[in-house]
Amino acid sequence: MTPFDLKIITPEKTFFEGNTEQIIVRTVSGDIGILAGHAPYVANIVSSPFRIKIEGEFRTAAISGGLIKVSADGVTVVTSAIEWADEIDVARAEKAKAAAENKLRENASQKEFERAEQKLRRAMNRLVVAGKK
Amino acid sequence: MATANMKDVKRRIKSVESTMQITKAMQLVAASKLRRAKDKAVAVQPFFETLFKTMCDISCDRAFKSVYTKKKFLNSTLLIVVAGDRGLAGGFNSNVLKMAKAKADDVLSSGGQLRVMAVGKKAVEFFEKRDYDLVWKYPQIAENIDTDTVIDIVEDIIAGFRNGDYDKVELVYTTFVSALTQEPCSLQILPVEDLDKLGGKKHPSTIYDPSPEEVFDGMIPQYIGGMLYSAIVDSYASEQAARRTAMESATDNAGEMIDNLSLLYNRARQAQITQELTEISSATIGR
Repeated sequence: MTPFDLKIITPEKTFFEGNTEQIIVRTVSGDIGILAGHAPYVANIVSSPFRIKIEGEFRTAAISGGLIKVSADGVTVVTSAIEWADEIDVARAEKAKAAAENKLRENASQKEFERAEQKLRRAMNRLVVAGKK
Repeated sequence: MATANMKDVKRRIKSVESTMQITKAMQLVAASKLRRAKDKAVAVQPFFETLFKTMCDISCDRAFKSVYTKKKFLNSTLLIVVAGDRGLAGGFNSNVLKMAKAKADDVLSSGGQLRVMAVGKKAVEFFEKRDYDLVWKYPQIAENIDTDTVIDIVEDIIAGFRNGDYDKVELVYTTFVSALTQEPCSLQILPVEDLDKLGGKKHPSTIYDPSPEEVFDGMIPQYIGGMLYSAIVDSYASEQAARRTAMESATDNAGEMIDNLSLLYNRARQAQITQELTEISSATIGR
């Protein structure tokens, strides 16, 4: 497959910069796969596994919301947090999941409920990607 | 008389020396923290630039309305103030807080409503002591700031904005100009203004999934998060730089004081020796 440039940027660092053959990511309207030569495209990413094909093999990372931008010069992904599957802090994700679940059980206000739900989604995503759930 | 004076001077030298050790240590700590903080501040740049450019591009591509770009009509403001967690940093805290207070009083004197969000212990203390509507407090988050913390804060800000609690969000923080200069500055976060005039490029064929409006609105939390994160990191680097400078001059002053006191001490010692010699020799002559 034809490779194309991919750049993944977080506030802390440039997480990935290099060639890839395909990426699969979940946007607001569903999963989307990007190959070389894709039309210009912009969408919001939701918390999900993010799959990148490098030299014929897929690597998976956990991404927590952000933006994907496909242009003629390549693909740019901007996100607040992303980790490779083997770099995920499972203990921390478990803790976050437990805290969020407790909050959901407590009959909190609508706002708190939504926030706990978001947190739970992020924690679950990390656990799924890390292969612990 | 001379011996008592000498003891005093000696004690003072000791006390200044121990103070100097502390200020020297603080200077070194601040210098090493500054290095890390500066790296962090530089690292956030590409993230923010990409987001900002994309938002400009969307604004150029299509005309659309977003709740985040509408002009204000309620005249109610949320002021986010970022200051330090600790003192002993020269004018760092007082400069930014002075500016924040001026902004706050501006809003109030023009008849607007004001809410304050304080980031950093010094900002929290400042606004607690005074009669402002302090709605959110985030002390001691700057040193180990991560994006999850910022996203939580941003969700609060956005919920309040959408709710109509305020229709303008302003940020006051200190920006790092150089190791010697840090300046307080302010920034309007919401509503997002005039993006279409900031040199975005037109890409008429771009697909926005599902629609430009939704992509734009979906980017807002990331965008504000990036702004707030970089402001906090920037302010933290400024704090360390200010502390390093303040402690450096304190150490220099202490050194100068020790020099002066040593001179005083040596003079007193010499005077005492001279006096003893005079006493001994006059005693010999008198015999």
